[in-house]
Amino acid sequence: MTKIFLFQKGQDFSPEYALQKSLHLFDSDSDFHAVKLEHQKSGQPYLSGIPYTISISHSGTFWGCALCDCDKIGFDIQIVEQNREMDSIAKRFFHPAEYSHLCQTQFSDFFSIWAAKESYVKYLGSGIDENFCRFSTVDQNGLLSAINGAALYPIKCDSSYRVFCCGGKSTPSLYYFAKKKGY
Amino acid sequence: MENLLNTLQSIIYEITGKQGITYETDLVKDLQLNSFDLINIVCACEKKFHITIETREIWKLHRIKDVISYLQDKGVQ
Repeated sequence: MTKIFLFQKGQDFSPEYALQKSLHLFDSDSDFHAVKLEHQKSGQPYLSGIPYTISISHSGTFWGCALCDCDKIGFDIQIVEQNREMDSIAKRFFHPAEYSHLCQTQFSDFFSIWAAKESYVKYLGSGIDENFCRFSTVDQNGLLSAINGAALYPIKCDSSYRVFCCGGKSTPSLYYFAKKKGY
Repeated sequence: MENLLNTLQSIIYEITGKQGITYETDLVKDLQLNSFDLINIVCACEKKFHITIETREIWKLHRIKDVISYLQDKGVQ
C-alpha cells in the first residue's frame, strides 16, 4: 500500500503537522506521536520506530510525502518553470535517450523526466550522483512505466506541477490538500 | 570575495527569486531550495565562471561561504 499526501503551503503550514496528518491518514489505528523523522547520512529520510517507508519532496507552494509499507519508495514533485536552465541540465544530467526525446518534443517532457528520475534515485537511496545520467526514463514510446523493475507512477494533481512516485506494489492513492484542483 | 557574493546573489535571485543572501546563508535550510533549484544554480555558475562543478561536490556546498570557497579553489576571483 502506497499513499501520497500533498499539501499546499499556506502561512500556517508546518511540515511536522503535515507529516503527523499523513501518518494518521496512512494508518489511523496507530499512535505516531513518538515517531521521529530522521535522516540517513545520504540525506534520505526515514521514520524511527515504525515499519513504514517515507519519501519527501517540496517545490513551489507544495510539500508532499509518500508513505509505504514496503522497503523502498521514491517520491518527487517539481513545479514547471520555463525560465530554468533546461538545455544545460538535460545535456549534463539526463541520459542521451532522454535528451534526444526532449529535442524531438520541444522539451515538453522536461519536468516529467526530472521528477521521474528524482523519484527513482530516491527509491534507490542514492540521490543525484554521477549515475543520474546513466539510466533513462524514456524509450521510443515516451515515458517508461518502470525502471529496472521499479514501477514508476505519474501522479496527476495540479497542471503546474509534475509528480512521480517510484516503487511500491500498487498504484498510489493520492490525498490532496489544496485550495483548488488544477486538473 | 564580495564580488563573488554579489554575483551569487544575482544568480540565485534570477533562478529562485530569493533575496537577503549572506555568507552564512544555508541554501537548503534557510532558502528552502530543492535539488532542482541547486542543480540550476550549479549550471548557471558553470556557465558564468566557465568551470565544471563535479556532481559529488554539489551536495557538500551547504552555505554560500562554501560555494565561494569552492569557486576560489577553482581559480574564480
